[in-house]
Amino acid sequence: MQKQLTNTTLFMDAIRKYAEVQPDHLACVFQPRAIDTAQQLSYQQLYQQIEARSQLMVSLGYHNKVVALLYPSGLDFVINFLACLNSGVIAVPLNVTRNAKQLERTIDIIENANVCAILTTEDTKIQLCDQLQEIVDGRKHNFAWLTEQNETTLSQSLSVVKASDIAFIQYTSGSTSSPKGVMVSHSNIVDNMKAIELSCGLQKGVVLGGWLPQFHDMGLIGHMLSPLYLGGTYIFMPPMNFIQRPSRWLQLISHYRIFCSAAPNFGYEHCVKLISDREDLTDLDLSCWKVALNGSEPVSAKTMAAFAQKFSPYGFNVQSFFPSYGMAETTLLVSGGPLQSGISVLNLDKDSLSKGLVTQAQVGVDIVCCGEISPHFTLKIVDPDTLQECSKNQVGEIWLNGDSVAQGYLNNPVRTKTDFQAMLASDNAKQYLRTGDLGFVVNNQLYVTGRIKEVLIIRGRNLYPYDIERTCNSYPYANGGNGTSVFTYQCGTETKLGAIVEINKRFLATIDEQVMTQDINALVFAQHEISFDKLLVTRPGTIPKTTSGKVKRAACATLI
Amino acid sequence: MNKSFCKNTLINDISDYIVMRIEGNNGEIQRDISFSRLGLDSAGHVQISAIIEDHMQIDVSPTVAFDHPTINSLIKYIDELTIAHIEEAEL
Repeated sequence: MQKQLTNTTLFMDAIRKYAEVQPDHLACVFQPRAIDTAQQLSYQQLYQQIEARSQLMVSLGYHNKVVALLYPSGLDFVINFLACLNSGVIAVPLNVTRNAKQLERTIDIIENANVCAILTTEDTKIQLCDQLQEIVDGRKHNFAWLTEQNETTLSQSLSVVKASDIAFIQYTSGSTSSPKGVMVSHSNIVDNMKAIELSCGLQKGVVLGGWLPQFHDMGLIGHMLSPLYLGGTYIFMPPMNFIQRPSRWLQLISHYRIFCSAAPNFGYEHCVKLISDREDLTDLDLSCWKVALNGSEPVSAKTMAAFAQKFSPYGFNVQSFFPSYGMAETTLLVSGGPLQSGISVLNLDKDSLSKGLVTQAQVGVDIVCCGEISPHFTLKIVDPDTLQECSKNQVGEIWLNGDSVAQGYLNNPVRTKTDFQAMLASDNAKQYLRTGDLGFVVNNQLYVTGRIKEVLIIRGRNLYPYDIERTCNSYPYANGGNGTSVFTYQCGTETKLGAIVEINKRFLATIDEQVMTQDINALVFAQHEISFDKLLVTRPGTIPKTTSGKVKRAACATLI
Repeated sequence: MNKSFCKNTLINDISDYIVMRIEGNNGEIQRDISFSRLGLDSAGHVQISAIIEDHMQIDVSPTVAFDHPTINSLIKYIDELTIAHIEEAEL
């Protein structure tokens, strides 16, 4: 069977095969809380439900059309996402919003992607329809709703799905003003499945999963698709249930003997900070956890050390740490591993690094290694201005070529050309993805040092200062223009979020400062679900700017 | 569940938690001001649900503080929840 699968061209071919040869094997387990809350599907059950949903979508004429998936964490998402792959319907996985303000951004994506239907549960539909009614923007929405109440009795043959077809659209990057939907093809998925299998040392039948959201690349490709591709079991819980009680994640790993589980750095930090000594962890055995993948935000060696210290008494092996690098634009994984290599850190001279040079030093900036570059990619370090390949000791932009690199951004030919079809000055035969990340390579190991464009990474989410500044500027008493600055600042080892908002002079004299601070906090939280560690409301002209009027964010941090 | 949960202890615990989490707070939490106005982040909202769970020894939705975003509205919700639970137990 292994042999047959190496020839698999589509992800769903593998699932179909497993439903035949191992029908009773567990495919998915969803466990929101204690063990008695677990819901599960065998391969046969999973496949039957996928087939039923596929028939429905094809009968509705959705083949080659775009649908949005707005599901709370659960088995429904797995079934419906795979039904889309199965029937050649292009899925756009999205987060279920909590209020109308957040839904507005989702609606922008739905418009951008030309979505013809929203797939969701009946309960979520009611919630979203309520939010939709609060939005008064005069736009007419032409999408249909599809829930568990929609069924079909028709049985027809599904259309042929080609490996080069777009399988789904991943909206992870891009600011609100210009959402970017990454077009991932069926062959991209399969190529990255193989890349992940190789880098993470996954075996057939692997048990894999955790709490990562299903609508996001790391949860979707890494946690959900990888184990299913290998005939293994996908174990998962809702992200919020992890945030509420982080020990649930570790209990899940221990109970189901999970081999590989991923989280951004903050997930590990959350465990260190919030799992108290009073919690009963007597049965916890983390010795099965061989790939503790860390990705999607910078890896902190300090957090890793604290985590290892706290959980090594429970069988956690420090060598299992698996820092990695990847993104939606490459389907997921670019580098990581090999298995059991743990954390390795290079100390670099700070002054040299600020000039883009890699010089090792006794004391300096710690850069955590993001692992071995997958053989599925050609990676180049490139000077972003001259487009020439950098020399070995130079930091440059990370460029990638390979079969996992996605097809571009949906309905955005300009960005697709600049970001996905870049060419080296010396070689115009090969096209590269420009990642916008800066780094260097030592012995085929990737080190990431920062980003070219300003983006804040908070709790694994990419946030654009401009989006948050715009929200602050929409505050009625704000002075507007470029009178708002959002930036990060260091407080010990922690990165914190600060903001300065200039208030119109007239209101500054009459409205209570605390009220305004609270208003802005509430406004920003409603739209972005983040809060400032420090927020300053002040008179116009306070924010330090360059002679050309650009906000000096570093100087703002000093001011606060 | 603990029928005689102490409302004041719970209110104090939630207030203490918010004070600890928010920089520059003077230690007085007004019970009708929303957690987000006070500057609490989303993880902080979720932690409030864990504090309630610890007090009440029942499962509470992680998003309860998003849906009932002030101390007073939360307490009102918990009161209703308590009554529902007692009625269920008596049936």
